[in-house]
Amino acid sequence: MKTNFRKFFSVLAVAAMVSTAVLTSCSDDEVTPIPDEVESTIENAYYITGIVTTADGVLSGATVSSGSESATTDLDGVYKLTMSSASKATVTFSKDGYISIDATAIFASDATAGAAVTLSQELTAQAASQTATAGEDATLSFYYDSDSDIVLSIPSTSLTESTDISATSYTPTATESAATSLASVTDGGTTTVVSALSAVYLTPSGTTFETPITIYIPGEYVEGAYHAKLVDGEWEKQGDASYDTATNSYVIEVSGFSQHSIAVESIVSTSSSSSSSTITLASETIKNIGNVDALTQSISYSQKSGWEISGNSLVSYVAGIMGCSSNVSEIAQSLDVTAAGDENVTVTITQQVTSTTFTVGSTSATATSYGDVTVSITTEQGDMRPDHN
Amino acid sequence: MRLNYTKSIAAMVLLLLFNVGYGQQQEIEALEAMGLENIKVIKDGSESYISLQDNVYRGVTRGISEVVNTLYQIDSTQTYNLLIEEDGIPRISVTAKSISDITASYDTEEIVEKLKDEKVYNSSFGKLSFVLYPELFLENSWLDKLYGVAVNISPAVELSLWRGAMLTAQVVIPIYTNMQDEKQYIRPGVIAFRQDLRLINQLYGSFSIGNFTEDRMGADATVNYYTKDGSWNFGARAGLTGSSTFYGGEWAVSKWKRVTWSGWASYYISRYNLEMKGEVVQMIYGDRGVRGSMQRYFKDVSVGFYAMLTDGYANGGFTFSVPLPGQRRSKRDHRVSVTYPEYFTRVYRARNGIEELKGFSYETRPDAGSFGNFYNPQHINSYINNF
Repeated sequence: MKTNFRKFFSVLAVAAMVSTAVLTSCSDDEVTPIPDEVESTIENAYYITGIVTTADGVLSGATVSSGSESATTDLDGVYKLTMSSASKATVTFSKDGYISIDATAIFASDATAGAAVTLSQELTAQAASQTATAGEDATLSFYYDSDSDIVLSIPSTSLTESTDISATSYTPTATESAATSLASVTDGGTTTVVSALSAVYLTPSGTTFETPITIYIPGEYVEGAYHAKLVDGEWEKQGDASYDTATNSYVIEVSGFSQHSIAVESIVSTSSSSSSSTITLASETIKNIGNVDALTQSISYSQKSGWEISGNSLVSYVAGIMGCSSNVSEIAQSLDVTAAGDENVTVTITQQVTSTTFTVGSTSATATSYGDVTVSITTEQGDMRPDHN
Repeated sequence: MRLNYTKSIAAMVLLLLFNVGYGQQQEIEALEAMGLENIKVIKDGSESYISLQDNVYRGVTRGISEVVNTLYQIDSTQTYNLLIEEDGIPRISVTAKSISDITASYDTEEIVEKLKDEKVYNSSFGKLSFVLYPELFLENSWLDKLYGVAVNISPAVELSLWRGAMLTAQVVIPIYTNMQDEKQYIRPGVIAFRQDLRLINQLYGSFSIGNFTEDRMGADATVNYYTKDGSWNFGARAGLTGSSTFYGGEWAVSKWKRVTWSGWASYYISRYNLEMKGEVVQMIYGDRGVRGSMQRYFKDVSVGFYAMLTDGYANGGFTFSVPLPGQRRSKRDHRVSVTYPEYFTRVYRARNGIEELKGFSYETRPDAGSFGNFYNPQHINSYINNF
């Protein structure tokens, strides 16, 4: 009886030890009581992100580049550039058959790692060419919108040889100086920016005319609008633009092909009551106190991109500053966050919402745009690291 | 006349036999009644040889004192030669020529030989103890709290399997802690199989395998040699372990890759009941160095200091083992007994060593360093008459 009892317990005990050994996970790496340190909670990087669109919707396969960084838009038209610093960056949007656009990304002066600038851009497919025959008067019409065309009136004396010509109406974006001015407007402050009311991309670029040609560019009448040409990325005034009420078009004369626009100055103001607010996109705590291993988790959030405007005034003008048509989309984003061993990390991701009033002459419009994303991080340490001995 | 003479001789032999048998039985019954285990008794004239294991009295010396008093109440003419066992392994011998002439020694050879074929009464094997170990963690390493505190009750099932074999399965149950690491979880404590051996007289070995303290799991072997009078102890220990952690509430173990070893010599100064120990060590995380300690053994309390230097990292602290209430435990009449340990034992480390991962060592049993396992004959001789 005694022997049986002893055997029973012996077997039970050995079985318990074996099952313990089997049930516990066994790894090559030893766990020490020293909590893992991490170089940085989030990647020490800054992001430029947005959606590339056309008039018909999103544009996939477009190349977005800045310096040595380059990205291609996905099926949703979304791109993301990872930048090593929060410096001002020129971002080029391009795709074969589309008019390339250079835009300027400006980070907030106090941007910290993880900050993102939202920069969406609309690209326009270059219009098909039409042939203007040398020595003949020509009138070429190119699509502007469903109601109107861009019309080029080419005198017979303008061309010395027959030329395939295209004129494409496109949505430009804020020039670097305009972007800088806009970024510097403080709550309740005002600034003046120049932007394109209507922009036309003319090819073959560099073509010159013996006799200036006349171009009719459709657009709503805005007092003070003038003819401008893109020189070194800025709209440079070329002369006055008359307005033809019969065709609701601006009439300009050009002696060479380039990117021309009907530009206008606007006074940009922000109201102190609603100019700048933030929305919280995500707020999560990665709980890792009590563990020695570092823990990386991906925080998903939805970032807004774009702008919206109240009313119909100055819509195309504001689009020429914002770089895209009035629309607000959401971009799914994720951020890898690493909590060191024995550390809790709370990450709050916010996005700035800016309300901007554009005033051109006596016309005003207020646009709400979704801008910079800011990542703020707070950490809490556990007890594993002694404060002193 | 011849017939009467023969009858007388026969009667005397029978009487002698009866007396001897009766005397042994009395002692066996008395020792069993005390709750002592692994009892063997043999008488050889005025010499009695008795082995026993004491799971009842707090402290080795107290148990011996109680046994000697009991035996001399049965027969005050005997010289009692006691063999004190732990988990069935002989630890020391005690010779009581009278109730006031008691001498302990590490020399167990003669009594072991005398008792080797005797029947065992009240065997400890197969008996299961449920021991509730109180634990206290205190560390002053943080600026935002006076002390990091953890109070645990860590019940251990201790099953004596066969001679020298002990299976321990302990779970650590936190009662209070202001720490946020693994101390907040119910977690495994010492879960180990231990085989103790008496290799030759005064030379002991011990082998353990399982989950140890300090988040270690592995195998560990120790040898100890004691001089007969208990003045000197020489020992060596080696272990191969991996981590066994419970961070985040998940038990994770690694492969056993870390080798620890140590070798030591200690000298017991009987006049002061002071043990001086010098040790060369390789600690868990590979740091090597020296460790020195002084331990003063009082009647029922031991306190000591230690200092160590491993790979240039100095550390030190103190140790103590203090009695828990109750000088006597209930005897293990039943197969399962619930009790608490005889002593509360603690090692306080001045620096926790985490910043450099140095000075870490583990123990293979929950009652390591306890006064209850202290068998030094010189200490016993100092206090045996005071209990």
